[in-house]
Amino acid sequence: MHEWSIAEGIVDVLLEMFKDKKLREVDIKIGELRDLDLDVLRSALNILSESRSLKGLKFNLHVSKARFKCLNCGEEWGLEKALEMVEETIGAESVIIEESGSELPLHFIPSLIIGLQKCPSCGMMDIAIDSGRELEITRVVVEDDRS
Amino acid sequence: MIDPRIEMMKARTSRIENIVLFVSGKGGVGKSLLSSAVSYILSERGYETVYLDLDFHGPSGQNLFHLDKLMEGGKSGLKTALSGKVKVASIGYMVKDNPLPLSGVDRMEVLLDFFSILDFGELDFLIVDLPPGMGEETIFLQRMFREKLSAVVVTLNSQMSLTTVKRVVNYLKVQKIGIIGAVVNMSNLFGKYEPEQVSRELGIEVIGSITYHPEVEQYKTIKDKLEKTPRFMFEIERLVEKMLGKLSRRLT
Ligand SMILES: Nc1ncnc2c1ncn2[C@@H]1O[C@H](COP(=O)(O)OP(=O)(O)O)[C@@H](O)[C@H]1O
Ligand SMILES: [Mg+2]
Ligand SMILES: [Zn+2]
Repeated sequence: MHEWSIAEGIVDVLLEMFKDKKLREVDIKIGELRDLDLDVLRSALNILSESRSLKGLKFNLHVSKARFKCLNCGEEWGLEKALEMVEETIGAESVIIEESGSELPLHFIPSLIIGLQKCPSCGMMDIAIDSGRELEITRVVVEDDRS
Repeated sequence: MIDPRIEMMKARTSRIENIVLFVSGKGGVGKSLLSSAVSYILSERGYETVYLDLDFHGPSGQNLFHLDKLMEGGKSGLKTALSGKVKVASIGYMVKDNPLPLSGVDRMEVLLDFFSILDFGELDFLIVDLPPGMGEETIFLQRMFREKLSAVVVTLNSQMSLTTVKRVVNYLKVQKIGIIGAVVNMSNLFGKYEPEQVSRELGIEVIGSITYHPEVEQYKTIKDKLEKTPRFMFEIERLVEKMLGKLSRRLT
């Protein structure tokens, strides 16, 4: 899993954008399609921010559920249905291998899931991901400049 | 909303020396064949090279390279696959033969994710096999990595191919992307102009001329295509030499 590299990206971008500000809180939205281990991500964020002049910064992690929508008929569905279809299209075995076994690491590039399913209602492939692939910093609270 | 992937991408690509785009106006002119061949030769010569297939509609990486080691997810992100000495990355490995109807937004998402998780390491060359034209892939690359980019323009010596590729050349110039030169492919099949005329027509130097070799089609992997068609290999070697000469001049 690559929680550490994501945590590094988050800390990097915060340091880059808020160079001489003291930060208090940061909200992060993570789509469930990314299949990240929140505990690992949180401790990575804590360790990296402590060691890199963002001491005491609090990270609030929010998971957003996956929602797919058919642009042809309007049908909507969630992760469970989507994963069923992915299994059907591509099979359990996959060309890419996770350290743990042979699992398709779709979570690295969640948008690819579009090519691996069809609308469960009309069968078309005109699918939008409404939510579930986010990796965003949605709010940053800056400490008053009193120090 | 702040996207941390931009910083992740910067970190991941910071040790790439050159990003070379293979571009064309039209499809089927030989971008995939030539970019994979160039990647193979560069790797053989000891340059750390990744062949990156960004043609999401018609990825060819999975066919042109026989893999000794698959793409693999790990702690440091997604490792490139290995084919002999060439490192290979293609979404073809993930979606296989399934169509991938991506909208513009989805395509940008795929690019952001791909570049922010791919573990490139230290590279002399990132060779990018692009879809034809100036779509999201090209726009994305020039936005993110302009200083490291340079382009090889692949064209046929036909009026249609030259007219369309000229627009791409103009775009590259406007965006200040260094153009290494043009490669005229299947030069024995189409012969609209003399090389000097092609050069004048496009406003860039012709750095290579590749003959159509029917034998090339008989072999699946780029390794076999090259090693079993010595004349093709020779032409690619010469192209690589030209490219290296041009790049070192540009870099110093
Ligand atoms: N010089 C050549 N000799 C033989 N076959 C070629 C040559 N150039 C291209 N081809 C073949 O033509 C087809 C289209 O080439 P490809 O590299 O896939 O084009 P593109 O990537 O620009 O769409 C492929 O089957 C390729 O092997
Ligand atoms: Mg191609
Ligand atoms: Zn539908």
